[in-house]
Amino acid sequence: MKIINSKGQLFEKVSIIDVLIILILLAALVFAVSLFSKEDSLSTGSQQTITYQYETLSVPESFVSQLIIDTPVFNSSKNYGVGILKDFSVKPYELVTKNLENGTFTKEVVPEQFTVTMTVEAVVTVDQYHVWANQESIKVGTVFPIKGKGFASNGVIINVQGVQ
Amino acid sequence: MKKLNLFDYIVILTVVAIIAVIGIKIASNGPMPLTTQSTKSYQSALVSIRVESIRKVSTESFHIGDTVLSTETNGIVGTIEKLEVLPFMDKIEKLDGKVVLAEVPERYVLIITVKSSLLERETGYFAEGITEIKANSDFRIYTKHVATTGKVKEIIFE
Repeated sequence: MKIINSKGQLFEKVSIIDVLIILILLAALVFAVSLFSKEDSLSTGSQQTITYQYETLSVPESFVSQLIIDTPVFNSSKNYGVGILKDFSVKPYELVTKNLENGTFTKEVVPEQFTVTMTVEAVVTVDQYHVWANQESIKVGTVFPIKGKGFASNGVIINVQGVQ
Repeated sequence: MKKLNLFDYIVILTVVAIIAVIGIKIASNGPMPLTTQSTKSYQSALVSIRVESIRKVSTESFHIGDTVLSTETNGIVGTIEKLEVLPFMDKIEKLDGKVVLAEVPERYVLIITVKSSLLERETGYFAEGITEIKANSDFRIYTKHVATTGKVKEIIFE
């Protein structure tokens, strides 16, 4: 008995084309499973509650008036939650400018613009090298766009507390 | 069933090729060292990374002994051996045309010295065989607590 006969049948029973199609579908299924199991690795590691400070610069008064304590905040481009707004502080926005006469840098207050520092509490997953709030990496220096119910801005994480 | 013709053979070869590509993709998940450690020797080196215009809180988030990883490859670069914080100076062209360096308020330079195990290949040096390290190249790094971008200042082999 030939392995593949002249009619294209494997062991004279099944068409070789059918067998190859089944194999490729199985391989695609295994590949898809391996992809999903890689994403699940975000959920391994210990769960903790931490707080972090997120700073956004040069925002108007109308932004500040929309901040409500104990409401959720999100990554505004990817729409997943990044914690609960627990507190915020507001100070005048200062721009670093060049004094061309003296050759020095000075900080000057920009009228009607503010720097807002938000304190966000989040339940995170901590592994050896990462702290994840959903899919957001929580590290000092992480830049991401943030939004709440009535506000949105770009900013950076400037402090993280409570990571064990 | 009719005999196999040229088209049938083309289909069979195409399907086998697709299975081979998928198999290779699954087998090569994750960063692949360019070579195995058993066949090439690694050299211990100190890699200096200069980060400019960084906030004070960021400088305080790096600690000696922390593991540094590359953002591009997620591979380990090494362990922090030394940290040096300096004021950040930037250029100003004065009204009289002279260019001076002046200190920028609330901004600093951080020089991070990382102890790394580098594999030397024809094309360069690779930390742990994975992450290419080149002097004067931009380098995005992170630890568990902080992420930033710097420039490789120098590589000193021990």
